Amino acid sequence: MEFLKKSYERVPSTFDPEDVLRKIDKECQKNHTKKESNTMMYFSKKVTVWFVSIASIFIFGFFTASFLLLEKQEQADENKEKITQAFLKDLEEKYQKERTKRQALLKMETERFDELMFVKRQDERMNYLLTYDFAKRDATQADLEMELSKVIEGLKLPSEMIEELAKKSLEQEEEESILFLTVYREKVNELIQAYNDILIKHEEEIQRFIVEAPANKAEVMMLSRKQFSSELQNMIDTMKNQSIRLFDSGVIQAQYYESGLHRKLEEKLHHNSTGYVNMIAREPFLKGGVPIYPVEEALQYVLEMQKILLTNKPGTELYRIMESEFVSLLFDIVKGSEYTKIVDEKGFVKDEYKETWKALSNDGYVTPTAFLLKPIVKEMEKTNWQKSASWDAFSYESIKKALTMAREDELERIMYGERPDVRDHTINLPNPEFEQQVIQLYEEFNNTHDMSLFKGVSPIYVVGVFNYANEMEDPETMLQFYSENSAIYNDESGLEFDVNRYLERWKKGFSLFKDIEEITFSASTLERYNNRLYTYVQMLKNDDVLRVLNLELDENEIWHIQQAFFDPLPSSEEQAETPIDENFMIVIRHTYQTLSELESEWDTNGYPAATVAGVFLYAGEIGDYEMQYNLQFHDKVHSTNEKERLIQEARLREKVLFEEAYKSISFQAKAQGSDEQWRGVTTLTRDSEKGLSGSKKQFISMIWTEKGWKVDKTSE
Amino acid sequence: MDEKELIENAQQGDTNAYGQLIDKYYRTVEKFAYQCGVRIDDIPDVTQEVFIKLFRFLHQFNQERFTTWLYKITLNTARDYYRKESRERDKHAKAKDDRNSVEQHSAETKVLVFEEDRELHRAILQLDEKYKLPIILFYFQDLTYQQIADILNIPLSSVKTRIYRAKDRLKKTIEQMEGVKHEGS
Repeated sequence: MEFLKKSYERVPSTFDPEDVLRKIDKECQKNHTKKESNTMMYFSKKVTVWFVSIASIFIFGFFTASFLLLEKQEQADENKEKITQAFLKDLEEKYQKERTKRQALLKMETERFDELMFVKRQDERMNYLLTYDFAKRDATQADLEMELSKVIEGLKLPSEMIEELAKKSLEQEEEESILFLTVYREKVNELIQAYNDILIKHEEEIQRFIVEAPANKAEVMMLSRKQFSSELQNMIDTMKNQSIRLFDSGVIQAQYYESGLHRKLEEKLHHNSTGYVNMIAREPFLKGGVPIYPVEEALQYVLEMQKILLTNKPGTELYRIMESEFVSLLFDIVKGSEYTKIVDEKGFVKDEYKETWKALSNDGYVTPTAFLLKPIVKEMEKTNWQKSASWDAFSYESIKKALTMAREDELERIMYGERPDVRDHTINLPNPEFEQQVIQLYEEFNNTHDMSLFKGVSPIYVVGVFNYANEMEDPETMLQFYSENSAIYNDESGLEFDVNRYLERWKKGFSLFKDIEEITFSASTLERYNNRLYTYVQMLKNDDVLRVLNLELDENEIWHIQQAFFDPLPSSEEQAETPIDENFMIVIRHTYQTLSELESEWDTNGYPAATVAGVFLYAGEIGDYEMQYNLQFHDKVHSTNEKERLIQEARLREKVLFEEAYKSISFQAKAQGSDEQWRGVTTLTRDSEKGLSGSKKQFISMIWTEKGWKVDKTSE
Repeated sequence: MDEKELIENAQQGDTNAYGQLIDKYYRTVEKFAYQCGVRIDDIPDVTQEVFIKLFRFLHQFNQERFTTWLYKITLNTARDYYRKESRERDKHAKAKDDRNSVEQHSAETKVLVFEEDRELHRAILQLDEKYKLPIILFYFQDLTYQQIADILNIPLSSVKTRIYRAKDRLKKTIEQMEGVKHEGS
């Protein structure tokens, strides 16, 4: 890690801080211009909208439902205390105390606090509770105490809701998370509305407060709260606790922001609600028809919202809100508006919108945006970005219809036609019949290399024949199976694919089915990307997935291999003569350190044989004989005493200073022996210049095990 | 001017103060972005985006936690880059710009001269984000467990566990990469 850390110092720097400052200046100027045009619009559009949301209906419904339950349970709890007037009075006092506490937290005037919808709702619930004819219902004090606690929950401020969420996470509860967010958002919006009412009430006072450009008026106001009348001061004092702040969009308004408290939401709620958490921080996307975000950013939000709308369950309040935001924003990006000009003075679509539309049409997946924008982009390109019948027909309704079709899995059929009939398939191993079928298919195929033989054939057989070609050391046949999109044709080296190089470099690997008990493919894993379908075949042992192979279905219903990794045969390992210098020793010391930290099984899998030999010798040099013991091959499990004896013997041997004694190291593996063991030899060359005694070369016989290379014995 | 004053002044709209903050931190952002997987030729764009976003949100900062914010914003910007990147380089996409790939490879070898470094860097990038980020922040950014917990919004105990598990997974990833080298080709 330390070496890599030093290497990171070499990350080149071409970043220009001046460029950032120039862009910031430009952005400030742009915002300033926009402010002026928005001022009138805000006041003309300012409408107080009170709404009874699904969440409030749910809460009230829950409340009344619990009373119905009480009725059903009549006479079940006869021994419990009955409701008295004194008890009801006490209940009311408790409620008023909690109510006063919230008003104090908000430092809000009584008249305004009373009008907060979530407060009003609790007042109504409380009133219902206090006037209900309990005598007839046989309700107990405990029942009412329980109801009161629910009413108090409803009174809690958004900040309190998050604090409680931090104590009791809803990470595992999808429905509760979404309900929580619905209520949270509603309370936030009610507070924003109340704050905006305060701002309008004190409009003149705010206008008198002059701030010189480029300072942000909202920021300065928040820093200078003492200069304002008490109601404004109190609002500024407390609004940040609810993740609401002043925002200057031409007029000073209250707006939700992504505070530290807000970020706790994502952490403590179910992952399927993350999209809604983000939406709450970003909305509104359009304010009075004016887009809030630049089109490049809006594009990202459209795609994010679309993803959520296609994966989350519809039917919730938040889903409906998001759908509405998605439709409005997508419409604005594509169709434009009085405030969003998508064409230039000459009637050509502006470059930023061309790019945005292309991005929407080319995401490769089956989405409403791809479905709607593909024809628009195609037609626009034909007319040099001036006309498109599909663009003319594009409407709010067409977006909603596309969303519905996507949700009902209809969109893919419309865009790409019917999916081929692909079925789930599982093969248990060993399976002589399957193996025989694979051999037959291979023999038939390797004569012709005609892939049409595999039309409609299960991907498991394709993997089987591909794997069998490896067994038969037939890379040419294996090559036929690779899709043209596969990594083999598009590897990271940047070199163009060359058949001869591929054949030269090809080496047989262990069978993909080694240690495998089950090969399985599920049609539910199919995923479309543009014209093709993709999937994977899993290979399992004891229900653990040991290997996965990615496949791609072409237009002729033939499966192709996307990527395949074969574990190398030990016999293929070789290491050319390498100097034992500081670079080599860095690797050895690092490997030694890593292996020393292993707490249980001694697993050298993945380490080159020469490195294992090097660590073995280095361990001897520094007197770590236990490490040496662990790196040795033992054909039987030793008792603790035997192990101690062997370690003691090693301790008595002459110490060899590894780096001093040898000047180079190499390794050559051998073919698998008749005893089915994989062996190889590490060769060390002595440093004759240092006049060290002994043979010029020393050999370390190595043996490969399922846990990597081990030292068998040393000789000269 | 000390850092606190710089932040305060920048919060008031003083671009000169903000310029000084950029000078102080842009190397941190560049290195962190690269460690998170941003390609070398995209680092200037990502860094620029970070400082523009940072300025937009500057008013929200608690001065004591400036660096925490800086890392968070870098992380989000790098994530956005990942998203764009994943679209461009989707495993299914055939189109591939070989020339860029060669240039990128060559640029990488200038930073990570040793093959071991490149291997470890790639192995870290292959880790799940929940493991990758704590290990980057701890080993390469020298942050404390508490700072990492703040940046990633996770409990302190999770940071320790994730770093421990990350090391374990890193070893396995490197082993797998050794296997990949021998792709059935």
